Amino acid sequence: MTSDHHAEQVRAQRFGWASLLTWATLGFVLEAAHGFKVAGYLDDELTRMLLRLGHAHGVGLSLVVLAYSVTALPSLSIEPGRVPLSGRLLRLAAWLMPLGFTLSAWGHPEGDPSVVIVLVPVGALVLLTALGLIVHELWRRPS
Amino acid sequence: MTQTATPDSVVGDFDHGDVSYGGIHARLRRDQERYVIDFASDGGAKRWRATIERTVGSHRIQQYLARDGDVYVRLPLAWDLENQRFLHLNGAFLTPDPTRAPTHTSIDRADYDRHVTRWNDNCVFCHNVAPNPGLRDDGRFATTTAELGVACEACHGPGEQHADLNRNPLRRYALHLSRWIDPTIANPAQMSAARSNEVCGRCHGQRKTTDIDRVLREGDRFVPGTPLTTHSTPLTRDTTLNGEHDVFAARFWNDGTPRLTAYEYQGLLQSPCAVDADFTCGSCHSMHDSDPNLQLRTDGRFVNRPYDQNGLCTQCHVELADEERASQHSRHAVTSSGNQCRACHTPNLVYGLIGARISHRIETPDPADNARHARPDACTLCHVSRTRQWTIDAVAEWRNASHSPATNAADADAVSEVATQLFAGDPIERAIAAASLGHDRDHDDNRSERLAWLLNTLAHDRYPAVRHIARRSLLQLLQPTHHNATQLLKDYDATEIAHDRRSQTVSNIARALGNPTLGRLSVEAIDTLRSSARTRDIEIGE
Repeated sequence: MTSDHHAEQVRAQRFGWASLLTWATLGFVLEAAHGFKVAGYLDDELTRMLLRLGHAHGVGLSLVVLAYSVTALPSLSIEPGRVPLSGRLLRLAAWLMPLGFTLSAWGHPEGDPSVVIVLVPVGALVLLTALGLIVHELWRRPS
Repeated sequence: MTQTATPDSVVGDFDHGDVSYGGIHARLRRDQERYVIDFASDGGAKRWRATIERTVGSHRIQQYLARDGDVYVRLPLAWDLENQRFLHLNGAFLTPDPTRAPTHTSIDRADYDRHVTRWNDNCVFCHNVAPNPGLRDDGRFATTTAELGVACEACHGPGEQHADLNRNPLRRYALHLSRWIDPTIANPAQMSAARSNEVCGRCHGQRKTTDIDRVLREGDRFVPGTPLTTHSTPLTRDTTLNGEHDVFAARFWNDGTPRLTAYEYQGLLQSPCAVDADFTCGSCHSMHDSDPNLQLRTDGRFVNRPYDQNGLCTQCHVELADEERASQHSRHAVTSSGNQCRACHTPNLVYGLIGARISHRIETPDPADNARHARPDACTLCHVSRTRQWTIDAVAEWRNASHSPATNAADADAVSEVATQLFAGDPIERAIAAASLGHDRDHDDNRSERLAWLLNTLAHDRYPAVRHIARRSLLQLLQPTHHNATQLLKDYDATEIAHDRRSQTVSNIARALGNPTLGRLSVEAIDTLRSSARTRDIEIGE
């Protein structure tokens, strides 16, 4: 691992753990809303689903970023002084998707999330691009 | 709503269902996934069975349908959700006991089946989506519905195109983010007040169609969002049928106010509030996110204190949102039930579903005018020990008219308006009076009289529905210490047709209550009042 690898690993792990803390905290809040029977949460099925999806995607993608930092990253080639595009896109997706779900739960029209939900498909495309770049890089390297 | 009879939809207790009425015994049982009623009359010599295929209703009374070839037939027994027991429909509708003989205990099959009707050209219209009786030239039915029960399309009209087009998220978000009204679906919230009210009025405002034969052949052609009057006109007191007058008169008070449920639309049209272009059924009711029993809007200011039930009215009458100002307006204490808007402006003077229901004609109380029209007034329905004159004078005094107020002492010697209605009124008046005697009141001044009047009604009124309401009122009046009377009342069967049996049961209840006295009314006076009621029989099924 080069110093660039190390710097990227620190970035990914700082992001991953911070993100995991954030979205796990949301999960704790949702459990509390269940526990205290908060009407605004329990009475609106769509709001509940969107917040649950925000929590689940946030936690899941945080773990993906952490996994990236210890499994894929050491095998990637990094141009000196550059932040790898795959890592940047992965971290971007790890925020866009859960944020899209979570924020679209507020003020949503009947039957649909609010327009902020557009962050989710954008985030999904960014995520697929990041994963594609990582897979491409890993397959390109000699075994 | 109509539903297929399944363990999920049937709410009656078919594990312990045994009903004897008029000498006919019915045994209601669950047989695997089927629900059946085995009837036996003449001591078991005659037997017949009905298999329940469908149910109608699920909030207050659940009725049962059996299939007979091309038609569904409403059976004579229903489940009473309030009392958790089966009920013969002769006790649910305004119909007198089949016999007046004091010891007569058996009735004819025709009397037993008096309310057995066909679903295909009756219930179908308001308990389903897009009903079409499908009456054919040979007299048989090919009945269809878009959906059993009351579902989305009952209020929103045909939704197939709407659902197809809105699979496209871009279209949906274009609708969400603009003021564009989706032309592919009817939405009462976005219609004019008149059109919106007509959507409800289709079923909550009994109508006379312009072409009944066509309706029976092809169904009701009304589509939400189009004028209801294209195909029908709401019934009023003056509506004629084939040139005959007064056919529907018994369904309205003399001033035209509806006195039966399913005429709420007519009440709304008579309300001064409806002059406001924005006032709709939806001002007070919501079909979404509300308690299905009354479907009142819950986005108002509703909590448990009586005053706060005024939240629906103070949406518009904001000046009365302050409870002190409301109290000054109502001239009742802040915590009094008389400080509820509904107590004076929409009193319970409508009969339906074995109860006195709220009037949907929102009005300013005017007991003098009510007296001229021989109609109950809001005041005496609460002040049940008062005469009509007392309330006329009291209201006139409030309004600074040139009336000398009646003294309480003079009023105390007279027969109260509610007592007069209870014994001399027609069956609807008696039902309304019986219900009014059971309400929680701020004053408890004539509880003993009320108990005695209601007990007399339990024993002697010829309408089981009136007796049923009197029983409920008695239960509401009893104290927790009245264990025996409460149990006897719970066991009392309002549909019992044998007068002597009823009288015996009522004697036992009266004894358990310490034999309350009739107060200013004698038994002879009640008999005199009741003799005038005998000339005022009416019979109204659904």
